[in-house]
Amino acid sequence: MVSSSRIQCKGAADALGYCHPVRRWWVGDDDDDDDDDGDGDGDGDDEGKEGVAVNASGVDKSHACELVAISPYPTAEATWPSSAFLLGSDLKLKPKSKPDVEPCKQTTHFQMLHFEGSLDWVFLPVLSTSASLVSTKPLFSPMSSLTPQVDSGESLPPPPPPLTFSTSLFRQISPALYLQRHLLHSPPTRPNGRSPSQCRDFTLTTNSLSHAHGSAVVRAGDTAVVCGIRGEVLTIAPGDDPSRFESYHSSPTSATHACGSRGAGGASWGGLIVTNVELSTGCSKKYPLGPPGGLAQTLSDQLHELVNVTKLVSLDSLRIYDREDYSDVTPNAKIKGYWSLYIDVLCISLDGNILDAAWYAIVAALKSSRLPLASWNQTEERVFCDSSLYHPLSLRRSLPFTTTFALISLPHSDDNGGGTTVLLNDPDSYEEDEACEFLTILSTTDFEIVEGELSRSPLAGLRTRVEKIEKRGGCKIGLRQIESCTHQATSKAARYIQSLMKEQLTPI
Amino acid sequence: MTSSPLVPEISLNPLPQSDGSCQYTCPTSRTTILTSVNGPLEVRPKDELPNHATIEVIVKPGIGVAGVRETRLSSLIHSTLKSLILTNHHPRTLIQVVAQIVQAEDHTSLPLLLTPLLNCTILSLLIAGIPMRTVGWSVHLAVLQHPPKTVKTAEGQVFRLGRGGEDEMETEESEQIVVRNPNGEILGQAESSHTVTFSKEGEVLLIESMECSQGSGGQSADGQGWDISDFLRLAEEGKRICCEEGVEIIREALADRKVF
Amino acid sequence: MATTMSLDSPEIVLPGDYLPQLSPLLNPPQTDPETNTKPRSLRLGPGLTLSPSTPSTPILPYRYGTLNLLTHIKRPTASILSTPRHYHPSTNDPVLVTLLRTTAEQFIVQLTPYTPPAIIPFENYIINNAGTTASARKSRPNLPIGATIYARVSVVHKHLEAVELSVPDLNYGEVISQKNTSTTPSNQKNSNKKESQSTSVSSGTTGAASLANRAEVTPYILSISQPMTKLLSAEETLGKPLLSAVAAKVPFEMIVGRNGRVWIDAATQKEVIKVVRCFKEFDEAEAWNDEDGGLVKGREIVGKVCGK
Repeated sequence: MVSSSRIQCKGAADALGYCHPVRRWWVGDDDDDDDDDGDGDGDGDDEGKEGVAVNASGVDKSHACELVAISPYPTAEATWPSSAFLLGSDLKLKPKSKPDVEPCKQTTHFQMLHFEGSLDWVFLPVLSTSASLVSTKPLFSPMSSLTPQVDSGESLPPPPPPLTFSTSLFRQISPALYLQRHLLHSPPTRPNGRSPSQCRDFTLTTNSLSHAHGSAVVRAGDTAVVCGIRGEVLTIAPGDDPSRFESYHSSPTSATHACGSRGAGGASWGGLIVTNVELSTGCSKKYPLGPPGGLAQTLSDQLHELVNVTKLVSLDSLRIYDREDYSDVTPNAKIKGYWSLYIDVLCISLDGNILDAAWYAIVAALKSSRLPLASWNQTEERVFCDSSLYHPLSLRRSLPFTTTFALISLPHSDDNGGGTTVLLNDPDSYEEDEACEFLTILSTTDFEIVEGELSRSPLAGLRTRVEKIEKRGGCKIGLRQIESCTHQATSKAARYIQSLMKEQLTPI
Repeated sequence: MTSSPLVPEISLNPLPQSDGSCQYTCPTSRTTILTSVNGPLEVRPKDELPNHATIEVIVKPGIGVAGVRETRLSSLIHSTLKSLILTNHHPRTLIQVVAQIVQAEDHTSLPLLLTPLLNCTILSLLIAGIPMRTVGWSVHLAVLQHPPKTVKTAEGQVFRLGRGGEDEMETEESEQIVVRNPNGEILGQAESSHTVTFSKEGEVLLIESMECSQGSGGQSADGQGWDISDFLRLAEEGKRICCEEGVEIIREALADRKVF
Repeated sequence: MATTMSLDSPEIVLPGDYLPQLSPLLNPPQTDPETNTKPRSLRLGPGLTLSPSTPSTPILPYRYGTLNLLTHIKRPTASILSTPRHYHPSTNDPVLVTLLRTTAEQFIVQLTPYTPPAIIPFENYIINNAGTTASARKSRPNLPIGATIYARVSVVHKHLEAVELSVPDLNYGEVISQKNTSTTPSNQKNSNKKESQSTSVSSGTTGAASLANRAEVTPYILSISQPMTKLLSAEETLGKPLLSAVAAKVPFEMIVGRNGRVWIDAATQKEVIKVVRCFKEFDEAEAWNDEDGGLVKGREIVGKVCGK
């Protein structure tokens, strides 16, 4: 019997579409190659022939129709039979062959078939004499157009009922359409149940890694990210100038070095804070084992830029001075070394929007990190760390957070007028695959954590302060929409701060 | 080619063997980029897309080997080109874009490199005759607190932009000082840096804006950031520059080539 | 074919430009009252496409160039004149291809490097005036690997795997040098200035005879860019500066294929090389962009290569 992988080629209205790959199927074995006349006796002869199924329903018996099928692979020497036949019936079709080509032998790339009759399915057995037709490439049938020529004034029978799918099958076959249908509802809902401006709930756990100086685990939906911070002491050689380590930290857009060449050493390039993102195996099926791919590299660079743009960490707290008593801050104290922070972000599970989760994890990890007290020992001429005294990093008071949006454009419809766009806050990986336009806003809220309590910052203005905007891909977003996204970003940042508060991060 | 300081130096098709190439020099920061576009070419089966052309962007740095910064630059350029090129005209092919940073004042600065890379790539795509939906142009703007000190700026490079807000009075404080195509020194004094790319019709293609004030971080960084309405005004001005002046630059550059 | 060559600079059309002069031609009125015929709607040639996403501007140019609108012919046609360096095959283009291998049903030939090979099915290869195709084994030409064939593009579509070529009549076929042979087909012109496109159909004896007489001269197949191809094809207009300059010094024969290949033959090997070098330098210098269409540059190159 014919397998279920048949394709419906619709009628004339679909004539411009070229995207119906016709699946070929084998109904049995292929030893009937020599059977040229192809007349079948219904089901019995269907076995052993490979063919194209065309839905010809809607065509009335008395109308003469033409069927044009083009094979784009001229290497295939397809032989059309002398007649095609209706599946399961005796109705025969007569092919119209080209005058100077042998009948039943089609070696050019098209064949005109003329048939009469009312048909539901037309089965055209294709007898192949060359092995190339049995390749694994699908046979395209771009121009199967049925153009009924009405002889009499009879009306066509009603079109067949449309195919119906279960929702999960719909989502697999046509993910873009599935998403659009959801968003065209009023009110627009996303397939995961959220509204477009609603972001996922997230949980935060800090200080779970015992060997790192600071750590945080963030889960937002199915995206889970672990961030660990480790500090290493960097001693300055006697002749070196400390400003070379500080320059990138102070001016995030450039790194003018005294030493000149890039990549000369871990800390001299990119300053004292080094970020690294790893998408571990198993986080998503798109990122198998191997060296960091494009996404991991891009994220590393983005997070590194964010750390330096926001100037989260105060440079002074990274310096190791040459003084015995830390309470005595003399301006002439010599800098003998630096703390170099290695921030490692490991993504355990990826379900979209890893940037927000990773950045939040970095901020929380920095806030929770405790570095041992380091001091310069004059006699030994080395930096010593005190294993019992720890101090937190001195960070900014107003913490900035990122919010990412994905833009889905909805097709034209009579209700919409033109096409509209919907911005989805905190997209998951299904929505990220369908969108090609993304917007990320890094903004600062008015709230800050002062001694464990939320308080309105004395620097609070009436407006939201934005520190970074990145929009890439696509062309549909409007400048006004960016403004509305900023307001959503503010409320998300407030939620982040509240969650940080709950972690009771007070300095020792 | 007019030698106005705002107009970049463009040399079309310096590479005779590639399908389209362009050399672009920013007039103020002397960043020089050489791009080459080839396509449509045969594509590796694993990169093949059934209904679209695959776009591959490679950025090669001026010094050192390509690292994460170059991967980020290529991904930004790739996402911009995807919305410009009509990829369904040549399915199952490859359009390969290679950009070489020939000279840069500061090889580690992303804002200084992004605008020349995008502009140079768009020009070489036009030369190569790759089907495109429209053209785009990119401009780099820096906002300063005070007019740039001790740095020479060209005429027309610095302008003032009123801040967004309810009051319409244009006092000294209510204006932002904007510098177009800043070089490294000006960028070092800037408060924020904005790279905006618009298409000829005014669609937003790319925005890379960031805060870049100097400072040692920590609590001194509180209070940094800009207001969103200021940014929108700036973006509107950037749109005007891209759609009018940028397209004019493209037309002038192409006018020297014969078409037949 | 373009009606005019633009030496002056008409307006450059960029991708995405709005072309107001084309919109009324899309939907012409029913009948033209003067001539009482129904005018046909606009046909879009290369460079223009319909863009359904912007209903107000349905016709979208996708390359840069100048608008070429032909309204005096039966069916108004609009296209964008531009010459990208990369060759895009289109139907009925004469091309010069190299044989890569022969399979059971077709020749597999190389159209351009870096693109998949094209095919010439045997049924499309006509070998004599009676219309006999090469399908039958005994009438099949025995072409060696690397042979040059002058063919015509017959089927090209973006979804097809390979471009299909054909050899429709005796003007096409295998290209071999025909100088100094007594049994040449009559369609070869001999002139001192320059030879026009002429080909020969391979047949065993002729080939052997010609090779024996001129064993020391191998014709050269040069790869050139598309603008140069257009220039060489338009012998009387665009190509005149260069071609007349070269032919004045060195008589030669050439066959131009639209895919950027030129077959050059001359009396001695040195002359073949001279012609090749002239073309190559003219191409690399993009001399057609000069004000005078390359006249001065062409003469300078010819002087340098061929000697005064």
